[in-house]
Amino acid sequence: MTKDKRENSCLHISATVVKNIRLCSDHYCLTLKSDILANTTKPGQFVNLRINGRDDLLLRRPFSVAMTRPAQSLFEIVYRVVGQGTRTMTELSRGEKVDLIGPLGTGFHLPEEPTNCLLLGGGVGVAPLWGLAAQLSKKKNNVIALLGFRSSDKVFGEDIFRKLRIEAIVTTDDGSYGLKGFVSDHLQKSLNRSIGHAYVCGPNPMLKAVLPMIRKSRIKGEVSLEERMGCGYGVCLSCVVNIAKEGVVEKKRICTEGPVFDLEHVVLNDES
Amino acid sequence: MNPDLSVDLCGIKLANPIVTASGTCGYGRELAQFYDLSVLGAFTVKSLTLEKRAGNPTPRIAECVSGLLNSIGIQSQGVRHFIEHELPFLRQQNVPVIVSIAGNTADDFPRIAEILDREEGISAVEINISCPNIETGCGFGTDPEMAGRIVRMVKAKTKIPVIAKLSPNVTDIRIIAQSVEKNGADAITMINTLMGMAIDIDTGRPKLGNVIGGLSGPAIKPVAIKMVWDVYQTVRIPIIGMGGVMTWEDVIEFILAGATAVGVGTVLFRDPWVVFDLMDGIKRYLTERGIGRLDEIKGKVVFPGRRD
Repeated sequence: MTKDKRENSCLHISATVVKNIRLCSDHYCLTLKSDILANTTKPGQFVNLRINGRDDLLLRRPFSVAMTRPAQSLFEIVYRVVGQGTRTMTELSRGEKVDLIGPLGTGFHLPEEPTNCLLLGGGVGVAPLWGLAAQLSKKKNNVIALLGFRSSDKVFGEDIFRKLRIEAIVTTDDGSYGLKGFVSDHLQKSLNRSIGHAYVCGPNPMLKAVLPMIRKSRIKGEVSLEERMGCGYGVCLSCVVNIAKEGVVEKKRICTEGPVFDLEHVVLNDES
Repeated sequence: MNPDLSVDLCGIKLANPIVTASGTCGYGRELAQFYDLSVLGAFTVKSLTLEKRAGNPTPRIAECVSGLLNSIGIQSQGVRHFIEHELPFLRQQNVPVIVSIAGNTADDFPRIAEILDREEGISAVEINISCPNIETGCGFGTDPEMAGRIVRMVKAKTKIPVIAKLSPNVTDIRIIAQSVEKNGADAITMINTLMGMAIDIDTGRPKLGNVIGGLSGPAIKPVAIKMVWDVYQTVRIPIIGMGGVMTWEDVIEFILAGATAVGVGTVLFRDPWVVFDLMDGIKRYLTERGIGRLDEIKGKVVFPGRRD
């Protein structure tokens, strides 16, 4: 009996750890080698990672793919240490194998014609914008990134945008680095720059602040959402969000119909 | 020697004892991306309600030590949507299909059963009288008279075999088992999740949007094994045993406790391919012991010093 059906969109993958480096106080970047994932994953898609040696943890941990490097068969994920699973991940070292399911979910859609694109990232939500920024630049879009972090010790990834020659504006809540305040405090200025398309990924309070502003400016765009996930492949119905389309509100699975949604349709939960 | 894994579940021939647990693999399409569903003994669909149901607010799950709390709350498109959009796909999968049904009221159960009775390709109807996540769900399955009444009403509306799924959130599960058997149930699925709650100590908030939920995973397996053993000694109808199955050893344990078939659920979230390992392990176990048929070890708990 064969365990995989190779023609399928998402697969059971064994990837090899190439690097696992600390980016800032509690964020790490894990570089993995898998020819198939590096070549097939679109910006905004994610992988579901099984924690090595921790069979007591019942669930895999989902991570957006931050960047792919197809020529080297490499891809990167960024994770924040929040619990036992991610703490165990900090111990992963070069040459180790990790068990993944991926690529999962829908990715970001690129504009059909080159335009001015605004990337809005908050905290670990900055990571999936890396690969998107690279793709947008390659397709001759003009990209501006507005990136929010809690404080200077949590800032990461600014250099990735700089290397792509993308203007990256950094804010910190306490003003310890870059502009002081939330992303939403500095958004209006960017929105006034004739933006054709906006892409958003960040924590719920940030989404609550920025989505209405973007909609009010009549700018089209997409948002990548996060919710506690069980399976990552659509069976458990844990990670749902209300999506309003043509007056009808329906629960959609963030892992399968998302994580990327048209920001016009997303109805955020009251709780955050 | 190739041991015979097939089992007879109230007249339904299963190629092996592995059955998916309701609510853990939707209507099959997602799992079918990974492998042919025909490798399973049977496939159980997510509980269907009469009308569309939105389910509970998020967060809907919380991982606990060796367990998983959920409060999905039966998000369902309803039975008619299932018949039109999902059942045709399942009919082509060459696997016995068990259709789980749930009701907001007791009368919903026979109404859904009546609708399903007209359809081809359904091997059994499983009545979910034990969902801890809807207001009335657990109530049906914790009252022996109500549980029996629902089974009787469903039996009156369909010729399809009827399986009752029992709740562990009761003082004595044997009394419920006896009641559903007396009222015509053809088999029993057990156990559904145990009611639980978890609190985030940083925020002081419950970890689940619905406050309380149902606990699954290896944490509940000893409870499930004990209850299957209790019920096996009490009723004659076959049991689909489930609760915390992660490995092939767990499957054997359930069968020794008296289960005819064994359900897998939570483990599929982490490892949808686990069914292959389960099958390989069971075969090895039987081969090493020279046992020709899995059925031979059903209920064969060994008590030292006791003679049967």
